[in-house]
Amino acid sequence: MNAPDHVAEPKGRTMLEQDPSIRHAPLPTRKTLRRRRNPLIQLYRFALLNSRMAYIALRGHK
Amino acid sequence: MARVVILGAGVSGHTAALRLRRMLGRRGDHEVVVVTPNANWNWIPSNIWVGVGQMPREKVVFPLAPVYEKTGVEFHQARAMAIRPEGDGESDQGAVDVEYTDPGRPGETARLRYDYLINATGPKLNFGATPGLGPDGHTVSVCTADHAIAAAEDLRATIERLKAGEPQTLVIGVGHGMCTCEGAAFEYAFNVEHQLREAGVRDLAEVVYLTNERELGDFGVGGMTFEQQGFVTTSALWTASIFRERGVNAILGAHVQRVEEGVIHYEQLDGTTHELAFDFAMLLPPFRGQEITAYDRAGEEITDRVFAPSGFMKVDADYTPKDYEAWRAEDWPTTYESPAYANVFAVGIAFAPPHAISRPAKSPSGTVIAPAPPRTGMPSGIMGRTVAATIADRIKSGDSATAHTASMARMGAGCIASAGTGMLSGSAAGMTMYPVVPDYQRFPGSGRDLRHTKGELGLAGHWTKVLLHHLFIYKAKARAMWWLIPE
Repeated sequence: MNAPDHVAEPKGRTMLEQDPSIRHAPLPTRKTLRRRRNPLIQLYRFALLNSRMAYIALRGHK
Repeated sequence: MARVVILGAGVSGHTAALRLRRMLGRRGDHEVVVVTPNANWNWIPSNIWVGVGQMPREKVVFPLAPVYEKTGVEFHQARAMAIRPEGDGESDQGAVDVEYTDPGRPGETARLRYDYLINATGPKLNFGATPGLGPDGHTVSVCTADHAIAAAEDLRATIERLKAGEPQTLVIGVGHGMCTCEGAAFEYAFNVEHQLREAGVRDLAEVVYLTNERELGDFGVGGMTFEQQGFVTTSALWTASIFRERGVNAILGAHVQRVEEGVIHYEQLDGTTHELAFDFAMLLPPFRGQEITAYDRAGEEITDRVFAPSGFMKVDADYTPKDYEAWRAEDWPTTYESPAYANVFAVGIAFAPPHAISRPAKSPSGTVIAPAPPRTGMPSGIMGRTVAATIADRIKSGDSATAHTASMARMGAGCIASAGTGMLSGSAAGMTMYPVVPDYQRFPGSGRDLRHTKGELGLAGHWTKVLLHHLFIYKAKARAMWWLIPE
């Protein structure tokens, strides 16, 4: 079985001990990160997000 | 003829002014008057981008006077000092005492009469609550466009030091245990992190998010519950994942006691106190109401009848002190009418909330460390429009006209938290929630309708934030068909 395609932990100074909620949080896979930047997929997500916001704005406060 | 005076021209006040003017008719007999100390309107959500040097000031501010001239709104660049809801010795008509900030009228004061008053004065940025906090102390802010410019300059200098090989600690968050607007601090933290990566200096930088939230993803609304990919998950887990992915550290449940040159002193919920050295710090201040005094007709001070101790105006909320378990959606105001004076309203940040939304928390020494409820953005605009509709109906049909309602416990909100700029490299967390104030009786479990409470991260969120920037500035400038754009 292949190992999950996790992204590497980001580099940066770590003087402070990392909060446990962050240390144990799920790390997105490279595939997830690619999906978040894929213009075609994001165009669909854009339409979905804005339709949700429009619904909230037009009807959600009634 | 009726005269409506609106104090403040932020999201709620400006919305109320434009909507009211349209509802009453451009050439009607009625007057809509706006009093605000600022000459310019500021789209505050985009100050985040000004604060990282990715947007010039001119893109987030514009002068109010031409907009009000075009729409038939009387504009006074002045600060409200006192309200007289019962009038004075000369008249029983309510009045507001103002002091002009208009450079052309230095030191001038006036008493403006009103039939209806809307208090939309927004917050006083209470940097003084924490010694050493703010532009006059040792930290920067992005609360105003000018603050954001100073923050961008400070960040630029920090990046230059990093490029010279000098490690830097950047602390971003809130500067007091009772702050609100954690979402804005979150946005700024991730935009700064994005800029550090773009500048190729991320390796030498430590980015720390310092917050009064007990857990990540609280955002002052008690966190959110989402249904995602067959699981019920929380905004805490979802937000922590972003922190891990981007290598941003967090200090949770913190109250900043004081800031000295390069050192933040803070207390945490477990009662421990700490020092954190920094090279760059953007900490938001706590808010309180603007300093406005209220007087009765005889000139006796009645400020405590009209305003809460926090300086925010009391409205039709249930202010009875209650334990968290006894908090109810019905505690929240619906009409934003003052219980003392039916022709006085308060909207946006200016109204006094009945209690927080997040679970309250104190350290063993009694320091309150919990976010105050956010009342900005979409809810602010909806409140402004709702009160405008109530006043328009009463002017046209008499004071018996039923008030329009818009409780935050019956109102949804959309929130876009930017995490970096760029049309192909940008990112933002897009969240919707319904209602803003959880209603555990109506929606057992999470307190919210999971069909309308969603969160996602990606480029789509950034595009949405860019769209909202242009859309709301277009609307605020009252350009053609502006009124079709919802709040």
